[in-house]
Amino acid sequence: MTSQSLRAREKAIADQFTGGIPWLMVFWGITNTAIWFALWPLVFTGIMPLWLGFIIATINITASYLPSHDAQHYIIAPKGSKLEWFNELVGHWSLIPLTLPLRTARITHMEHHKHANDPLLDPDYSTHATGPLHAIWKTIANRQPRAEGGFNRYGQLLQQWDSPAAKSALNDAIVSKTLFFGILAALALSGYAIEAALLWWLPRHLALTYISFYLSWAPHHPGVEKGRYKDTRAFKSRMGNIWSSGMQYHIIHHLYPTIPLNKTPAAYRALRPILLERGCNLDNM
Amino acid sequence: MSVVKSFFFFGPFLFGIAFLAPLVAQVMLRLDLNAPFSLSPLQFGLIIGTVLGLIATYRGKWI
Repeated sequence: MTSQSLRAREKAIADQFTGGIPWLMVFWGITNTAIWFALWPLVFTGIMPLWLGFIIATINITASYLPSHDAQHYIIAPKGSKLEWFNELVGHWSLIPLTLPLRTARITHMEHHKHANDPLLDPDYSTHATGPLHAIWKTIANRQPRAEGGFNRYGQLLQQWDSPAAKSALNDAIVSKTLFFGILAALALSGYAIEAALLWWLPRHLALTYISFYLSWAPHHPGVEKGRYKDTRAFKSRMGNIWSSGMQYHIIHHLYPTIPLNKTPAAYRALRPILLERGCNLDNM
Repeated sequence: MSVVKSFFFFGPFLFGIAFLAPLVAQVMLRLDLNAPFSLSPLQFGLIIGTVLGLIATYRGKWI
């Protein structure tokens, strides 16, 4: 079979998994942030103990990225459609606990798709690491004030790109970061420092560690090859697919970014023979 | 942009005095811990927050 006909067959299979509103992701994004907001009055009024709020907040913030990720790719509603506003609403809303603006996440993520594993052009290249422990260390190091990776790398690239979209994304990031630390300081100075630390600051750090590990490092490791069929992989996670945020099938997302997250396992099973023919890294999945 | 960069450059110091200091003080109060040298919890928190914030500002990293 020629490469072109293989590609046509691949696309015909993938098309079966695209289209429609992924209501699971919509529900997830809206309720997840709503629950996180609800924690504050519940903890402040003593209805919920702080330790329980901390656990739930950590889960909330960890789970906040993926619904927006579908919105970044206009999976919830296509760009230019009547429901584009709904796509944007879910994208913005779901990312509030993570304090990562949608436009910042989208523009950098699109560049990641274009240039995955390129040391100079991939905004997420700084998560590359030699192994799991190194990956965890890298995500912590990337969050230091003058680190060269992580969100600081996003900021550097947004300044370099110098497009109107990049400027908007950079402004969003500046406002978001200022608001985040401003709100933390206001809460702390009002006598709620421990609550602010355990409902937002520490859970966000834990969430970013998880997100960097499972959503960036693991699916791209070892991350040395570039190209459509080589820049990511399928892998067997010790945590299982759900607890690794569906990333076992990340290769499907890079090949067909408009397939919703919850459909990637089925799409993977359908596309697996073709991926094997293409020589993809499927890690015996 | 240079103003923003300057502001973020001193971010760790600001974080130290505006967040870490009250956090240390409130943790001490919550755990009923006494500060050394007869300092109040907030004075102790300000010393810790300022020192850590200045070190992080100078080094560009907390750890």
